[in-house]
Amino acid sequence: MRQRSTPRPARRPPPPSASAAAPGSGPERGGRPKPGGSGAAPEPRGRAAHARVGGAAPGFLPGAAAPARGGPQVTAAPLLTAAPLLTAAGPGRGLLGGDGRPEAAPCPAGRGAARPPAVAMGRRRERASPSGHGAGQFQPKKRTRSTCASLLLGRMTDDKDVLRDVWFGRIPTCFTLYQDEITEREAEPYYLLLPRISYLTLVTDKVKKHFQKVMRQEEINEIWFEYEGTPLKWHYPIGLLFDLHASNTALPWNITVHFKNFPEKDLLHCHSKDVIEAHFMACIKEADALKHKSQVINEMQKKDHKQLWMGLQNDKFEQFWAINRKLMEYPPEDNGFRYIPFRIYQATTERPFIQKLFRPIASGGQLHTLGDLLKDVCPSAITPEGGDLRFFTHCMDISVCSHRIYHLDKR
Amino acid sequence: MAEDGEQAAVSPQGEAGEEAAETGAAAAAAAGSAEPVLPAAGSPGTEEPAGDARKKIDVLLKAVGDTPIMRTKKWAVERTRTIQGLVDFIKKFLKLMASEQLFIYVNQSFAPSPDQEVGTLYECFGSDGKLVLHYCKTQAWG
Repeated sequence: MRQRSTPRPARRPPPPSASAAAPGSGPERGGRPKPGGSGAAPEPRGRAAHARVGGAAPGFLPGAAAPARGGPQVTAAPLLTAAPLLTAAGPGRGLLGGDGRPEAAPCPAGRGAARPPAVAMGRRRERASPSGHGAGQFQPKKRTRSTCASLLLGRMTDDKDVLRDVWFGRIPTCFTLYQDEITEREAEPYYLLLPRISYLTLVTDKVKKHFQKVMRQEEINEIWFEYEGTPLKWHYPIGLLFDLHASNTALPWNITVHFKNFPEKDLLHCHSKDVIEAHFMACIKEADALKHKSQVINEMQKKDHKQLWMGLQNDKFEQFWAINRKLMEYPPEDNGFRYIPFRIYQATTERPFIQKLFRPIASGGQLHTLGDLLKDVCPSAITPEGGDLRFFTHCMDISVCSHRIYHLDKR
Repeated sequence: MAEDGEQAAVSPQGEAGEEAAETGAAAAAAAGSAEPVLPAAGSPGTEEPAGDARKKIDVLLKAVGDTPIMRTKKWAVERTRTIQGLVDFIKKFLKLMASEQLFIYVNQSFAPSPDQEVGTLYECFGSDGKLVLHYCKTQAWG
């Protein structure tokens, strides 16, 4: 546990209805209790709490590894909720089949193949299903060649629960004004549930307004955020920032708000929402350059690009995924994307992140696993002893999964 | 994102070095000077040995639209050089004002973040041993 160098501000229990951060946000998903959700008292972050599902920016799947004994922290952050194998909470989701072994998806159907009836007639079903896979809106798939196209699509919508959990992940946060800021009266802390998949400057208008109310106009400059002395990069997804800097600490996440002394060397400026949109779209484009040689993103119309952004900005899952699904598909004759967009963040190094070319399929035809990726690009993260390192994506503890993958590899 | 010693971190290739010096641009005059002392690309815990990290990569700069063309197009750049550092360098070389905007594109499709390292971009988007970057005073590819 990190020692605090400055005393924590006196904490009050969160107000009865902590507001969701996204403007025009949709209703909080019911039925699934989230630890640390609105109204809950701050709780210690033990191992169990790490299993909580969080969200990530569509550009990234953040995660952080909490070392059991002070080892390096690794955050796996695939771009654009890429290949489901990297979002797996454990075997049985995503590309891993029910028995935990990766499945290939051979299929002769061409891209323009008509959808098999099983998909065309699929109806919306309730999320919970006996199969335990969260069938989403399509019927369970049969593994025949003719249903191959639906197999790929079905896999993604089988994961719709995961996609929704990722999208709606929230981090309870307490914003406190920096003590040296000059105010006309006392500034109360402001509590907010931050969406993991979004960006700080996109979702903190209310925070800005709250503190500006007690400040003089001439004291107000560009807002910036800091955690325990570290300026927080607004262009990193919120979930990534939390996993990287604060995943080991008790909730709520305590962020300090500044309006003076902008740290030019550490932070990019963010003078308007347009800047965030440009950054977000650039991430999407970069990811598609890796996945599809930019073909899918370039074939889309400007309004589709806009819909991605509006979906993020307004916290509209369906609106976003109506377009993003196309960025997550690949032709049936391929077994995956060209390269998997990923970024690995480590709290302990100077380098911003690790990003390299990595194919989803090995030369022998088998699907690569998360363990393969880590061994290839970040071997120091996987020690021969099996490691005390833990890997997170969306603050889900997948170390059990990766441990298992690693042992499979060893065989 | 100011960086120290950035002028010396970008050096032109081969005979273009003399040509670059003629322009008088401060940055180009650094051609042929000693290797810059930049912080290593990563801490001892990272994957690349220090030698690799300091190896330069080749960058080919192409102008878009009516943006002035650089007389020297091919440069050897440190892997840890950021896009912002490259932007500052090009602006100095072209004698643009600091307030003027300059956009950089990879693959003629996306504009990387200013803090992105060229080494990473080269790893992922380089071809034929170089990273081709298009630069423009206006937004070219959105």
